[in-house]
Amino acid sequence: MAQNMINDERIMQEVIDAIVHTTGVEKDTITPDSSLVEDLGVLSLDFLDVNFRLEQVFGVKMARNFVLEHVEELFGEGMAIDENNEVTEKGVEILKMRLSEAAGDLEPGTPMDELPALVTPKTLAFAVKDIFSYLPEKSPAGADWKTEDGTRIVCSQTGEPAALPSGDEVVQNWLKSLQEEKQLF
Amino acid sequence: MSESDYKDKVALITGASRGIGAAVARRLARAGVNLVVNHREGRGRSGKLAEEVCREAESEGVRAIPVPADISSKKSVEELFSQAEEAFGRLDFLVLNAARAPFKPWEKLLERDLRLLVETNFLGNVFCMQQALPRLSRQGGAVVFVSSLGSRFFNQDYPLGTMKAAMESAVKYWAESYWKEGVSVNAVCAGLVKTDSFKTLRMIQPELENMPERFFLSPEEVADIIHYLIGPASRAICGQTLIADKGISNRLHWSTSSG
Repeated sequence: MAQNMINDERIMQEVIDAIVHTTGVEKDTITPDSSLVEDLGVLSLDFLDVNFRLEQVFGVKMARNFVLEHVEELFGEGMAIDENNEVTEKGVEILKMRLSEAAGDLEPGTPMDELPALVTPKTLAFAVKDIFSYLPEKSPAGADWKTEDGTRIVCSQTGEPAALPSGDEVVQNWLKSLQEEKQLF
Repeated sequence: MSESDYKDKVALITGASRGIGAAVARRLARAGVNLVVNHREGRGRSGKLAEEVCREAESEGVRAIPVPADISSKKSVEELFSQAEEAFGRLDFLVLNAARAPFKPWEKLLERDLRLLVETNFLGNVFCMQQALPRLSRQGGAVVFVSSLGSRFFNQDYPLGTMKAAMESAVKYWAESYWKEGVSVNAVCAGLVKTDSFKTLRMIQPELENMPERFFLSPEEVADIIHYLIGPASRAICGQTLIADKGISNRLHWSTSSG
């Protein structure tokens, strides 16, 4: 299937390489579940470098805004983050669904400043995979896809890069379908 | 301009754990200025970075202390300045460098974003001025605000520019009020500086990646201008904003090859 043109191992390997390349963290200290902030000592601002590199490697656009910011943009201020800048109960529910085990211990009332600690190689790899899941079966030219350098998906006939939604659009789509299904807000 | 115009004086720099603030700390330490290196409290490494900046400064033979404080809180600012006073007993220079803002277009700003924008980048600087002005030396005391081109040009997803514009205006008011007392107040408006903030800007405006290298400034170049603005060589400048942007605001067009 088109979605699996770049396998999970390759995505994880590129995520780890991006972390090594942009932050100087030793490769063998990184596991898929390492918290970038807590375990690897990465500054949350350095996430931007990691994301920027992933964008170049995979030809995608990573999300600029965090999932809870999207919740508030779509469903109203105060839904996910309260007036003390802490995560609400609904916010925790959303994060557990979005980040699965990475948000396992999260409690309502957690300060927003602590959320960057939830980012792991696994959550970054998931963000990339989620964008690739929107790859159509065929290219606009009606042809199959192929990969370039093993990481960029292009049309096998024209060489045009696949037009994929941005990470922000992907998160908003996810939230909208979640809302349709569960009426959380 | 001699070294003695700077030596043994005391500067407080807000947001000095990295970027332009850290470069200013290093520049002033080289000139013999003792430092209060402010950074925002919180998780992450800003505390460690601020300590490193201080250690580096001390290797130049000055005294430097890191003081965490979120300038958006009036109480924290009061504590910041009283700690500075306790440590050094005087204040000669204030560099208003700290900034914090959402990177979103105006129409998407939530009330929380707007409050962050105003509370850190306008009120926070005002709180610092309120604490600094009575304390600043009446012989050569100086304040420099670090502005950016967003104060005068539209920049997608950069609402911080509006606060920079408000502050450039405030600089004129303070400059007029304190000129006769011997305290100068000016600003430097920096163009494209490759700091951590640039990482954010680059994500929002990928075309910056293709900007010719000649338009980029280093934090050290901005620090040199601040060193000048707090010193006696700039004594005729009152309430002004100096633009340091390698000429990018001179033009409507640039080409990727030649600049």
